[in-house]
Amino acid sequence: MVAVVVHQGPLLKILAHAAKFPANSVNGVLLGNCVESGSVEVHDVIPLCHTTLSLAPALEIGLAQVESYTHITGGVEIVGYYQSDSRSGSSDLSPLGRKIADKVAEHQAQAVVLLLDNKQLEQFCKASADNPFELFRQDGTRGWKRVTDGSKAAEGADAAPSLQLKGGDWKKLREEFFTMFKQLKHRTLHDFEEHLDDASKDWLNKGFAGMGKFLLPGNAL
Amino acid sequence: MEGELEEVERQLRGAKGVPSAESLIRYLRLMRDLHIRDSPTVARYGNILLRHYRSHLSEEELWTVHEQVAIAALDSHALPFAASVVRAINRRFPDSVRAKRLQGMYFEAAGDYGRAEDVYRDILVGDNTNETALKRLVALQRSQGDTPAAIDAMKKYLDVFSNDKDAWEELADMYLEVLNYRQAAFCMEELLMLSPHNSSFYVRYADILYTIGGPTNYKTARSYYSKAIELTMGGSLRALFGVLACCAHITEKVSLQDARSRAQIELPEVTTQALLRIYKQHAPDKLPFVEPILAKLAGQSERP
Repeated sequence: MVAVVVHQGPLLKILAHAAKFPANSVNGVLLGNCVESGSVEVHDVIPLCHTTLSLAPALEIGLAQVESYTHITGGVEIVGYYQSDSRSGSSDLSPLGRKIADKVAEHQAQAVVLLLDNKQLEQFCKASADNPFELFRQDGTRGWKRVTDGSKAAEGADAAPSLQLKGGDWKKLREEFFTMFKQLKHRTLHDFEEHLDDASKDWLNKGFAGMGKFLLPGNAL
Repeated sequence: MEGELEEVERQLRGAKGVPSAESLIRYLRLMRDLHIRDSPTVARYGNILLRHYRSHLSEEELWTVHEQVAIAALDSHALPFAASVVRAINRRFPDSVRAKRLQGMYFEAAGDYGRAEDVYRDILVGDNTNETALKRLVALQRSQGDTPAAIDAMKKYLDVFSNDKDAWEELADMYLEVLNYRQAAFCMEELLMLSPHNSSFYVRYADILYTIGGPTNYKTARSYYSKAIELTMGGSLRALFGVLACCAHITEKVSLQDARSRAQIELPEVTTQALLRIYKQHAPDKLPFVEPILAKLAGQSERP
């Protein structure tokens, strides 16, 4: 089983992005490395849109800038896409989400998708679920398929959990999310659309709360 | 008046046992006049007033207070209490639209969307242009996640209140949600007619046309982005990038003879310079990422 390993920092950013715009759908890209045999490691995310996911210009310009950033800094590349829908109920990747994910996969054939599911987020906040994210990978010609989390499979099943949190401490992620929320730190995260409306807003979120230790290698610019 | 409110609130908090009728009445009056939203407190003191001092109020104020307290109770989700107040109002005014509206809002708060819808439809039978009922029907469908039904409800509202800009914007958003770009563009055309000086409407309209794509749409989008640049005096990143993206898609040759075409040829260069200026000033750390994009877009638009 090939693994997708995500660090805590990027997951916290996705949670912050969704918390900052609770009434909107949000999306962004995952940055990291594709290591041996299809395994993916996610080091960072760049939040892109929040007003609407269905218009091309902001997304195109955002992707282009992120791509240019990864080329210049080196060390990481675009390895996937994330989305969180405003509406609760559907825990599937929407047709639009699939289209955007296809576009991201043009850059990286091994690309993965993280979907922040509202129902699971609720369970996560109540501490009755560990992981609020759904993982999708491309399955040949059949498109994006949900990867069932091995930890939720029947006990004794030998499938490894497909989405792994680096360090494995989901409880700590929940605590950090609550702390961030209470201190209103999620409001200090800025996505690419906010940058388009005010150029001084930093979509790299270098100053984002507690993110210092998650700075990327080669992030010297 | 704010000072008066503070004083009354102090009196109410300091009261031993049931506060006086006079201070309760004054508190609720002030909250109505100042339009301050503190629903839990209004519901609490309103409850005391209606239980102990009904006879201190004139017939008119008695029912004004009922309405005020009912809305506050619904807002703070005190449903059993809200139900009793709403019921009292409906018994006193069985034919009133305002009373029915409260009934509908109660059903919404209780999650009984079917009965809420019945109430609003009933209001519309007597008054088919009732603003509140038409609007509540949109909200009702949206809160249930039924975007196509919410779109239909909003169209009915706009048939009557066609100058409501917020409603047109919401309708455009809902069309985008269901990926109906043509209808979303139509809503933006209405908005542009209603507010011809709002640059963000020009950008949104151009964004929609660009997303639909095709030679004609790229050209129209370009001119709407240009208009937005003019309105923002070159300050809109969305519009500036938009122009460049459109230019990169427009490949046909233009004749150098007429002045309009010359302006179109110069457009990418002028836009590029404006973007570089903004990035240098406000986001110099992003300049190295933007420069290659601008070079690429400019290169595409210079294609023979």
